[in-house]
Amino acid sequence: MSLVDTLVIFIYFAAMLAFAAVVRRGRGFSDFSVAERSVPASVVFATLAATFIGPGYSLGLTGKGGATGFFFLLPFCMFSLQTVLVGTFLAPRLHAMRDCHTLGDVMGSFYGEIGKVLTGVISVGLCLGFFAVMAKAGGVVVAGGLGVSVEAGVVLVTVVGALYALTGGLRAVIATDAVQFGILLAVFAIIGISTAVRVESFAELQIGAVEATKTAFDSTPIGDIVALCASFFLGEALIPPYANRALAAESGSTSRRAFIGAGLFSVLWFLMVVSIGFAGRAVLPSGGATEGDELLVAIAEHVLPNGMWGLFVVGLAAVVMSSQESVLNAGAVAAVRDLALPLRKQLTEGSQLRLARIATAVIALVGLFAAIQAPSIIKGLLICYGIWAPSVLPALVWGLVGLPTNRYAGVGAVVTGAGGSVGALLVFGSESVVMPLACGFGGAAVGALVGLAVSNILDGGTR
Amino acid sequence: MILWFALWLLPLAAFILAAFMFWRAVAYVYTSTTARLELEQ
Repeated sequence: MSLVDTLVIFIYFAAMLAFAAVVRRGRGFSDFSVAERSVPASVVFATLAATFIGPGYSLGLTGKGGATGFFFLLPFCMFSLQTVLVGTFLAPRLHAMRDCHTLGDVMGSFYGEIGKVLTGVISVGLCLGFFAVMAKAGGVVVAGGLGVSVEAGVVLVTVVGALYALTGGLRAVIATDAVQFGILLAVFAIIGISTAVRVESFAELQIGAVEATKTAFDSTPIGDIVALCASFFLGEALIPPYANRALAAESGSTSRRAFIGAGLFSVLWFLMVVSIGFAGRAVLPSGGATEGDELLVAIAEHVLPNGMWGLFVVGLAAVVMSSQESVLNAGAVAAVRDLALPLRKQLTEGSQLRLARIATAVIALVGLFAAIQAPSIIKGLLICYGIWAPSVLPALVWGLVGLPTNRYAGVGAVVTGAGGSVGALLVFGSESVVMPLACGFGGAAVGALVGLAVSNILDGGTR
Repeated sequence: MILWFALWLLPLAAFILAAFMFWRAVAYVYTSTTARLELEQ
């Protein structure tokens, strides 16, 4: 690595630290949690896109493109479809809930305090798990780029990111997301064009890509394809960091336009990244030897002009940090609003802000520890990610579309939805995608019906 | 030619979008900071 590369990486992290100092004087909890509900559409679009483009939608998808051509475009585009649908039907309704700072608040307004706390527990667990995964991934990327140990990489990425999330809250996270989105776009654009100039015949490459895609479709059972599509469609639907952006938009229409724009953008992003994977693998001297997450790094090493390695490492750090700090802020805000506030209802706005900063620091430290010392903690926390869609989503969507809500039915759906998917995870293992979803949604339906029956017996279904 | 489109046109579009996002990010930080300073005064 040259002096220029080191300098570029140093400037990036120094700029992030300087930004943390600039934004240290926030205006209050509302600024920290929903950025005063004043974020314009273009910035909501950028922060949403930067948040969902994590290592899986960049490094991971490049590897998949290299191995199977355009095959993974189908399941990944289910995520795009989901984002467009959320933007069209749910994001403006979410934004209209002016008193809500979190999804726990939203669930609480439909299903009462228990619904709020349950959503809060799952939200905090999901965000903590995601944060730790990102810390580990960011550490590996930065360690590889700088030539330091993985532990040092984890600490560098996590501490710098956590600092601006702690000082500036969502406003700082959103502003840095927009910058990081610009950086990662520019870096992938350079990789794309640097790969394109090395392609000798696009016609031949196209034939190879179509063949690889056909082979992948032929060798994958239809049930697995459906399960993959279902998990991409539902897995990240309205998870806390995305919902917070719907709440932070300056209007309902802003929120709708930003979500739809991000969904449509993601289709083009996925196409560009799988194409980099397939074409990049073809132009590598080692040919098919490199695969998985290492493929993008190998392509970058081979195709990027001299002096660009530092920018590539910064691009990957931006990919990781923009997702990591979004879940960190969402987790901290959920911990305060959904878990602390129900215990101490008289908390002032100032106390909530102080608590949110403490929660940010605690989540960052636990995530740091889990990433360095205890991968089993991450595994445990990621159960919250697995159960999000079956437990919280049905009751949340039900309430948001304006259907009549019942507290017992809502809480029943969350509890049995979570129970059904955890049970299926224990019985069938985490490799099975479809069973946790099916058992979770089945459980949620049963729980809602049981809750309704209990409600009828206890108070005639009036709650 | 999907690959040609994805490796030439999309990266060029990505450059333009990146420049636009840098500008929007700076504008957002500037306007939200200015609004805060005015509020404090």
